[in-house]
Amino acid sequence: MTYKVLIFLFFGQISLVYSQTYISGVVMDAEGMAVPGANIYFEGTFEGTTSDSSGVFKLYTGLQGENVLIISFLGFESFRHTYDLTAVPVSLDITLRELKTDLGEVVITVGTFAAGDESKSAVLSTLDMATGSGGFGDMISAISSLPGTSIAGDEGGLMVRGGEAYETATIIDGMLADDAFTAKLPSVPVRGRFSPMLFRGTVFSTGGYSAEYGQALSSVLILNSIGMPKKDETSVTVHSSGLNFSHTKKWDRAAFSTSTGYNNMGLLYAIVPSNFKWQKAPLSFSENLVFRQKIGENGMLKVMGAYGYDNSALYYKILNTGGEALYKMKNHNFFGLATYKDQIGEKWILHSGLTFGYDDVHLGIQDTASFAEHKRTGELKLSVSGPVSPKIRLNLGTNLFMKNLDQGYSTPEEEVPYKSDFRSPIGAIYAETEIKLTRRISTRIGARFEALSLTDELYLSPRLALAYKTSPFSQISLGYGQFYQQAQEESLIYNNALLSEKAAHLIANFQYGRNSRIFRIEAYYKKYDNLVKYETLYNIEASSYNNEGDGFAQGIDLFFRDSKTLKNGDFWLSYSLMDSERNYQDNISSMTPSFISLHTLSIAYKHYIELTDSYVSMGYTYSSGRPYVNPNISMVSQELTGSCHDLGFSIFHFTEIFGKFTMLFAQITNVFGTNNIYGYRFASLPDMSGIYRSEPILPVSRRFFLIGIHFSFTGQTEI
Amino acid sequence: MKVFLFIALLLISLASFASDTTYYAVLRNSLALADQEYSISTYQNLANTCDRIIAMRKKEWLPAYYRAYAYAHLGYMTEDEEEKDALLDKAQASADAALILNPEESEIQLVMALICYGRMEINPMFRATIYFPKANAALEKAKELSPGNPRIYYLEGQSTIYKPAFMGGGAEAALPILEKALQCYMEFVHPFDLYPHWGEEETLSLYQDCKDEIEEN
Repeated sequence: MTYKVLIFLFFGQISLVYSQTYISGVVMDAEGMAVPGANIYFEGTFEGTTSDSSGVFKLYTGLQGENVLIISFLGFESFRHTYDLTAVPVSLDITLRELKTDLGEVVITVGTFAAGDESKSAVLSTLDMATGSGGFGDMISAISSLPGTSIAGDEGGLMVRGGEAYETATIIDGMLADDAFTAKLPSVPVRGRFSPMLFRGTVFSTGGYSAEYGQALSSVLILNSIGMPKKDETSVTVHSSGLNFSHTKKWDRAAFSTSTGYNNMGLLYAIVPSNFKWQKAPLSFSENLVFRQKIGENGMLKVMGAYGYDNSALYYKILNTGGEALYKMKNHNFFGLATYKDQIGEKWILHSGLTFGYDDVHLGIQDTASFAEHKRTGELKLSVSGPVSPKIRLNLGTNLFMKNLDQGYSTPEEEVPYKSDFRSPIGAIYAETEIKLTRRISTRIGARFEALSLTDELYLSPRLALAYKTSPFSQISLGYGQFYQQAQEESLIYNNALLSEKAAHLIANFQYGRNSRIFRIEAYYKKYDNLVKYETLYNIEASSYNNEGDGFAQGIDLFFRDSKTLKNGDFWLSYSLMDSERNYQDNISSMTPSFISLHTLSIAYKHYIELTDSYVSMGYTYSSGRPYVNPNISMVSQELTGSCHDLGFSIFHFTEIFGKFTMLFAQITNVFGTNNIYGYRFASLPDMSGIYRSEPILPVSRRFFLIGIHFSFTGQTEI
Repeated sequence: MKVFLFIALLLISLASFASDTTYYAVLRNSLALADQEYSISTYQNLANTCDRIIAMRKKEWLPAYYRAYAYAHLGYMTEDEEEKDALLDKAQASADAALILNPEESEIQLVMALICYGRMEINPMFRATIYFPKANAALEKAKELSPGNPRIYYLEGQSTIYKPAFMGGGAEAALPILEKALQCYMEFVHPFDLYPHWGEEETLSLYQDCKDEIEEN
């Protein structure tokens, strides 16, 4: 019997070998070009072959009868055909059709600059954020080199597309940070409170942003704090204006970080004369604590507390009298934030948050008058987002934002200090959906509904965006939105009935990005309504404030970045053309706001020198003249200041000291010492000879420099 | 009769064992070609072979692993950045699939580190801060799973060489790691013949380069 089996097996083998079929052919695309690397095989078998560089393949098979031949390749539709292997043609010419889904993802980019996260559309890296040329550690300086922003001069903050600094909202982990900038002294620009080292992902929107965000007329700056740190770390930074100590401790599912900073501008102003007469150069102290805890499989709880203290005193020129007044400012600020993020089911994400903010400003004028402001803010937010189907995503949420403000003003003449306050809760719900209509077109449709109990207002703001992928590397996008923002505290405190200000944005954008080169151009038109007008600010009469202001802004923003052409080099150019007019605040008629330059240009080049482990960067900024009203000439027409130029350098050198990671850095702005004048202040009354006295508005110091060292006790630093 | 039954059982068990490894022959062939010649065509061929195997053996981690490995190398070999990213996306998808099938396998962590290095190379200025820590985390995880795996130290040594001195890199720092890799290559027992086996020659030549560089200075 065994014998017979063997014979059977033997013949069986022979018959198998005998019946092998030989198939050959060429794989081509629709244009007749060879497709190398295609996978050619019969369904249900391991055996197959791959086409060579001329698209040619040869396949032997022992299969019999009808079988399905499959030819597949990345980016092409698979070819399937059933062949009877006894009668198969010897040679096949096969044409593969290009798959139309290979366009890449359509991402809505209108009005948006992403930075530092893993998204391929990132425009700025985390390093850029940390090494912005305007001052080490102030991320605002990196962002203000993007098109659409105005050089903020004496104001500070982010002024976007003809908008005032207050029109930009700062969002941290989805929650509104109401006091993201330091308190203001006259003529002194404010600074960002938060260190860029706290954040990993940043999205800067210059308009047309999502319905998730409200209470911002112009722009949102969305900051996402670092998730779970990778390891323990201790580091210290010492520089010419202060020092910073930070420590991170990581456990299996939790981590704790602390960062303590002290800054004193005294030394700098002793070396580089300040344009201001300081009685006490700005001094600040900050403490940041962050705790993170993983909960369950995907949950993450983050608790953050940031405390800041500022103290400075300045002699401010009183133009009407020609004398000066001493302004002393003290500011305590705290921002606490707790967020919890978790996954619901397979794909939905739940995000909830709670904040508490506290801001106390004390301003003493000439040791006699004093002004005090106490602000408390709080927010509760809940949102869910996820896919309804593969092509439709939904983002729903609700938040309640509270703001309580008390102000007091006392002078020696008045016995009883003047007091004013308001309590304003703002409730909102929003819904937004992103729909991929076709493989080329994606839309985002959303609406935000807001209720303000202080002024009995109800608003519905629609938001729309559309992106059309013109090629795998380029797309055009359109955006439209209506935005409301409660009247500013400084006027609302005197007139609690002031309505929200309104802006509408219309934006068109074209973007091309390939091989680490990005080019984008964006045109916009913005219309403002219900802007607050007044005769003079700080007038306590409610009737002197109204909502009758309006205005517009329009322009073109260009951005080009090339991190490819030069090895280790990175070049970028941003240009804004901006035209705006407003009739608001104390303007007599509609005129161009004093912070608008028709042309703003920023060019930067950064280079990593491998030989010496140094990172050098050079930045040049130009802005054309800014308008101002000279009452000695006319109250209704505007003059222009000269243009501003600023060439800055910075160098970061990486080395090790005692085997630990060490960074040495030096930065200098305005190398050529150009006398940049942002505008002029005029007295409100003429002097004896009938002339309105004036004073140029200048930067705090003509030149700014910083040298310092960053030392990591634990070895490497993750930048 | 008993003997017959025994043989029958043996045959059945052999057959069922064989059913898991019937693809070995095909995979072995493609892998041998890829090992012989480092080129787009041999690695595309390996990826294609894995594709065919995966279509029929969805529960096996090995073809998913080799598909990730092949696409990671195809990514290295391609010039165009967008294509590179697309190939590395494919590699990542396969590595993720392999990880689900066999979460305890250190080699899958290593292929993930390979993918991270590929992503980093595209635009180091932007990406080093994201992918370098990711690659390190994958190496650490691999060490936890299989501390004797020589490829961990090969990759660690390689990335140490290219890391700037201030971050604890350079030839001198890499040398002991590469020595450890060579030691592990001698001691490591491959659990089966198709188990990943790359890197020994490269480690040796890196080791030589390091030694030469140190002697020169």
